[in-house]
Amino acid sequence: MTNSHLYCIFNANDPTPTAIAIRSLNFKTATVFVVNHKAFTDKQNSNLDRLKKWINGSAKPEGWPEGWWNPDWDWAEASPQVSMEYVDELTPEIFGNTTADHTFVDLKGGTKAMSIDLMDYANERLDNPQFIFSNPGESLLLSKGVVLPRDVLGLNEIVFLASGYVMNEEYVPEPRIAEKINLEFKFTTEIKRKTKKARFDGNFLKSIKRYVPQNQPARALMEQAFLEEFTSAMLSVSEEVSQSVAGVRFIDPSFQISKESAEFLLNLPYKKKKMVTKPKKKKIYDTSLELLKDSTPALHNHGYEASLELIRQHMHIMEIDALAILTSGELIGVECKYSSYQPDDVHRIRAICQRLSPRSIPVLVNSKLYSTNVYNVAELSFTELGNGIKMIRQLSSQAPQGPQETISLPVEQSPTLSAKPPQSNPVRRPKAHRWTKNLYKCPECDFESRLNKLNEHLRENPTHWSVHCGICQRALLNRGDLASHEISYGHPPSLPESGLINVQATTRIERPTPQIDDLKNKQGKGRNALHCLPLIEIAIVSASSTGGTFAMFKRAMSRLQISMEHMDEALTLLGEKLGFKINDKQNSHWIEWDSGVESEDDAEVEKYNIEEDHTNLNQMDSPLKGKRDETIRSLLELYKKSPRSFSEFAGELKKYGFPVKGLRKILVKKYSQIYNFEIVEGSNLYASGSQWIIWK
Amino acid sequence: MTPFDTVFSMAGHSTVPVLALIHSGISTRYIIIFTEELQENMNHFESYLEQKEWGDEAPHVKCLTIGSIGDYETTYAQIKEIFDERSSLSVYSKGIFLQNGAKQLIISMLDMAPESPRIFLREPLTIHCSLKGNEFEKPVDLKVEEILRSRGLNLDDSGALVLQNEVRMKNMNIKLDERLRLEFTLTVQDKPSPEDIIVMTQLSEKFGRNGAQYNIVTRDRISKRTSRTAAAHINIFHQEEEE
Repeated sequence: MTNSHLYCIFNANDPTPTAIAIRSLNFKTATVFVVNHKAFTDKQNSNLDRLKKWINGSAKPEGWPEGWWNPDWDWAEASPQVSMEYVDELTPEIFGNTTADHTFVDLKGGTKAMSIDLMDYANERLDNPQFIFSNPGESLLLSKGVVLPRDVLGLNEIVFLASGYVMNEEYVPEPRIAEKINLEFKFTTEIKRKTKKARFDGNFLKSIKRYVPQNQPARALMEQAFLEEFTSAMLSVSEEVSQSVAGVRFIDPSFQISKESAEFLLNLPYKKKKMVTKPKKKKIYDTSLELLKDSTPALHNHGYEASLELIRQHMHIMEIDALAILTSGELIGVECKYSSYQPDDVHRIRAICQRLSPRSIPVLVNSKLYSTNVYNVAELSFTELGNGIKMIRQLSSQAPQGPQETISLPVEQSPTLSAKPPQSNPVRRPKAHRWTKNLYKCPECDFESRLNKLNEHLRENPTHWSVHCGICQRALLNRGDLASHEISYGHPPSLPESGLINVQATTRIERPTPQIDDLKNKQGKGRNALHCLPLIEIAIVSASSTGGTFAMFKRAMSRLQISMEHMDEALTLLGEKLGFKINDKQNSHWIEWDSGVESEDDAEVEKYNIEEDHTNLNQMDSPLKGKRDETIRSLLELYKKSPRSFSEFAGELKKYGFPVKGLRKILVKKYSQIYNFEIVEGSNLYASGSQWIIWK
Repeated sequence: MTPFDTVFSMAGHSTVPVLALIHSGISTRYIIIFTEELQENMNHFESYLEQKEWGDEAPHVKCLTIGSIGDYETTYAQIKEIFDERSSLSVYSKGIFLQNGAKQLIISMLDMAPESPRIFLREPLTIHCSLKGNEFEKPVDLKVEEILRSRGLNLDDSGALVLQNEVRMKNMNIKLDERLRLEFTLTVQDKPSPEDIIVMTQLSEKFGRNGAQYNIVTRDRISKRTSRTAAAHINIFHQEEEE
């Protein structure tokens, strides 16, 4: 059996790379060069001490009474036999003699210059040295350009090496349950103070055998506590995650510090109150306080395990809701917030993560319906944990956006609008009078608020706004959104800037109704509405068929670059032609169809169909059929540009002298597939009862 | 006469080492290799090169992109290809610049050309190399505007830094310090705001954590909350008001 030996440099500012190198390729022996130890700072000496403890498999220092240290806090000893060589500088002589069959030199630790020197001297002194570069999760064989995947160190090892803390976790997700949670996860939404929040679905909680209290506050507390386990479970199912835990407490290995922490935490009034509720609990609690007063070994040899465990649970100086380690060696530190939270909560998780490891990524998992990054910390909605690691990477790679921007988003200002406030509108709802010009309404629901709140609302409910990024479907409200979209979401918005609509102008409650001498409409720039009647006709038909509001219609006009200046005249002309009137309703009933206008034609056609025209279209002779076909096709081409009712179509055909009996059937059978349209019952469009040709 | 025909260099987050290299005049050709993570830096660098007026002897600078830093096997193969294409050059006419870029890529480069002369950057802004037993040094003169332009930033007529979003930073002082390191100093009259930290963070992402000094000088105490958001490489100095 061959044996291999590793040479590496101690990485003075962080012992983790050195530990990763030692554990990387099943070496039998290893030499760690500690270069210029005399010049080490206290921190570097402490790092060296940590590496030595890691090699021995435990962070436990002297001074812990017997039975207090939990053996679960330890890890396996390093497998190679490691020797530390203290050298003033790197020279060819440092290598000495080795009996190993293969020698490896890890070049990860130390400065660039040190690594280059080590490489040169190894080439000079060793027989065919293999140069490696040990990264978390992989070893690079530098001379061959090959990568060998390796296991990363355990979460507790990484935490200890990087921070010096011992990890005491409360919850480790069971793979089977985590998988079930991932598969069954469902959420509902709840509106509180006009803000939508995500909530765990009751059926989902039952499906994973979670007790769901009937009492609302108790349920909220349960769900809040469950969020930590849920986060940890969802992270654990990701292929990129090698270990995930929740309810993590960090203990300073110094017994004195840990004991003082436990004394402090166990004597907190709320803790005391909680502990004395049941006699059994009280006994354990009282004993634990006694043990803390006198930790001599005689007191706690036997029968005090429950009290010692209680003490261990309170020895920490820092805690985190969930912690995961990725196969790349990075840590994900999570703070969970089920209710609202403050910026300080975001900063806290960032600070904890900075303290834990330079390779940690702070995340705040919350109950919003969207994820963001305001303070250079990923704020991830728990609804997106199914794709958590990808989302975290995406959010963490973003440049932070100024916090002010997210609170009060910049909105395009129309110079005319700001120069001249809209006229008062007699049909406004009473509430609008109180709020005057500062109130804005969601185009899709009853949400009303000031502009910045409306922006927030539209972001949380992107389906309520008509302009979206074609890739991620997020609402695009202003040019700021366009500019920051790529930074925020990793892709440019798939929308030309001209496609944006002014939120302020289109959602203002005091918007004037479409009157002819409408002042507000006069500010519009773009094509003259009177020159764009076919396009407006399409928009009217579309709004009728889909239940679109006037605000949506105006946005459509904006997108088509049609000015609102002569819109009233245009709508009047079209109304006369098609048979509708515009009222001042805010909802989808702003178009009133006048069935009388249509019914005349319809009745005439029907009458013609039934009484006068006995000639079946199918019975026509061939030359007439050819002419009729040509006419139908040209009419369809025309109607494609400007949608009209079936009765109008039949009337047109009749004017050309063709019989219309069976026309509907023939249109559907022969032409609908070629021209891609359908004839829809009028009830689907509006209450006039007519039939319409609708282009798909 | 320049000592080298071609010098190879990896690009890093910091722009100063490569700028110093191409301004040193030690070679007629430079090949700068960017990983795909640094694509944006490469775009700025190429734009800068296009606009640059060199005078009589303009060096030939070629920027090449390789794969991701995380995909070592690909990047190794690509670097090897780059070296193999120039294998006809004599060992001594191609130098390798070892001051910039990720260590694993620099060492790969070294492994591929172990005999080639090595070039370093020493403080203050001096290119140092050894060739056939002779060592020589070449001090380099760089202007702040030059460094900023290589990352797509500019100063306006009043000397204020213009960020990419067209925001002008009038209270930002940019200079080369006594060790000729790039130094950004933002002076804040009141408490530094989260936005101040964000600006410095973005600059450090552009020029590299170690590629410049990032200082915020404030007359007022910074709030704990704001200071927590500042990474360790952003120095915050409290300056007492002069009476």
